[in-house]
Amino acid sequence: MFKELDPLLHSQLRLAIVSLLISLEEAEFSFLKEKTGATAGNLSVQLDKLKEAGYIDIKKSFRNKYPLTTCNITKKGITAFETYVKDLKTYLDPDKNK
Amino acid sequence: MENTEKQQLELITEMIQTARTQFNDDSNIYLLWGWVVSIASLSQFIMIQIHYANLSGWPWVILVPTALIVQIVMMVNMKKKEKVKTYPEKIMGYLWTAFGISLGIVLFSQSRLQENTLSMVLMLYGIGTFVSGGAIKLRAMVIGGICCWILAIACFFVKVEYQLLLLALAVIAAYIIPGYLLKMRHKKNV
Repeated sequence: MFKELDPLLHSQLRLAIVSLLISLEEAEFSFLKEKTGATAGNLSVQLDKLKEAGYIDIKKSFRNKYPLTTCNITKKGITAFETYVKDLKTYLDPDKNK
Repeated sequence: MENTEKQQLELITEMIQTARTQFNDDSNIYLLWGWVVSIASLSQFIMIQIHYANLSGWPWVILVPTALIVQIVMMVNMKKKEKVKTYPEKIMGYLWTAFGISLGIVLFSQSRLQENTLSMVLMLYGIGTFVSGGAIKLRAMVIGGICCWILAIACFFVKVEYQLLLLALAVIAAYIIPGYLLKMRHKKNV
């Protein structure tokens, strides 16, 4: 049986963001931008979507008078990511799930 | 369909790998303390040898507070550049705080520990560098930690003034050599 994949994570950029955040305590916007290669505009739209779903937290502050955005994954986000990976495996190794 | 799922899995693996190998460059802090402790202990040793034992504590009195100020400035600057916070680094923060507190207790109890003081200090160095080396996957630092423990045992068997040479040797093995290797690693990754 194929499990339905979480549509929120089944997008290249959002999955990349969550995969980065899963191993970090927190990361700045500029770091996520650099590692995912996304444009600032697209990245911030996707971050907002993840935040609305409660998968990540976004903190806005200032450093040296410049705005600073830092993100971290939430418990809900971790659970969603783990479920996503588990479901993904059913596609790759269907025999095991018969 | 399966192709996309494979790509998704590859993407996850790649991103986790990127995040895991992400460390802020703190090699300068290791180098700072490596040089300060080795210069201070060697100058104290030399001063004792040329019969200036009564002044031999001065290199520490001058260098350690200076290094503390330099370290605070370095850490503030690092904080400004820091783009991520990793879990190993968080643990290392706790580790070195614990090290600092324990070192403070040991130095405070110097009058009771007498000639065993440096063995205790080296044992603490061993813990700090061994665990940090493991956390940042730097084998030279792990080996440096082991060297500290061996030198801690050696300290029990030598006179106090020669213990200073062992201390210098310990920080060269535990801080200076791994510090430069760490610096090289970060330069390569930039």
